[in-house]
Amino acid sequence: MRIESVMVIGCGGLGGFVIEELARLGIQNLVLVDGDVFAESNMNRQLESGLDTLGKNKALVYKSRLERKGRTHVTAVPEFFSEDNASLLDSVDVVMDCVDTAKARLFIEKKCEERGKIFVHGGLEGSFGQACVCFPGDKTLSKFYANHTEQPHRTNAFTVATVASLQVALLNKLMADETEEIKNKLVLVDLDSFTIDVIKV
Amino acid sequence: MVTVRLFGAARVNFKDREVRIEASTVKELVDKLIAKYNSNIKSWRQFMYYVNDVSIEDLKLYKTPLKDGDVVMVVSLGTGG
Repeated sequence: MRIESVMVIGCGGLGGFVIEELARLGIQNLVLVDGDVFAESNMNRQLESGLDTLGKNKALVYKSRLERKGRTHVTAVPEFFSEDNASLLDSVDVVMDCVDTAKARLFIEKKCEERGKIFVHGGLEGSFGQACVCFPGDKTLSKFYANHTEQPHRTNAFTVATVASLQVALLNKLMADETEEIKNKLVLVDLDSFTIDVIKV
Repeated sequence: MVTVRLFGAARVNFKDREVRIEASTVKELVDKLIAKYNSNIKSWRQFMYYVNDVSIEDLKLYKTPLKDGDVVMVVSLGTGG
């Protein structure tokens, strides 16, 4: 699959590492979407979180980071993904789900369904994380989060970086047209007992 | 005996990584987990169950039969990012 343009929704923990790895992978055009700003509580896990970025919009900070490294085809959307900007999906090939609530993820799934877009989901809690590719029609997240109750998150840098890497590795499979290996598969990583499982979803 | 592996919030809440339980259906398994951890049905209904890597949604839900040697994963997916 030819992937020239990728949207990253959520430029926090997952998003920061996903953005870095997509750039290193050579994705030509990146669209970064986030209405949030860096806060002290982000500093344990978010790549560009530091004293120098406190209060600054995350999408804009990552755009600057990539431009400093010579990347020019980066669009920053300093807004939360919503009905008002969902049409931006039409300009990209694949979406990376890097948000941090079930509600936001289900909204991404809904909009990707409406527009026939593939998205790569990633999520985590403590030392556990998961990633999968969601194709139009799968409605995978609706099954996962049907009975979900939001709770405060416990997150750390090593789980964030690992799940982000899984997401980009899955996108790499899409690029290589190895779809059968990843369709309807959920990768579960456990950094407490150091196991990776792949289950059918 | 069935091997039960706890993942995510299931592991965090109930501490064990893996337990072995005698059960002939997923429902019976869940009932025994409730008793073992002195918890309630709500605590366990929020999770997803996979028998030998296949969701019970694709099998017979809580009536899915279990046999010796089966591996059941109790999965709760994180929403953090």
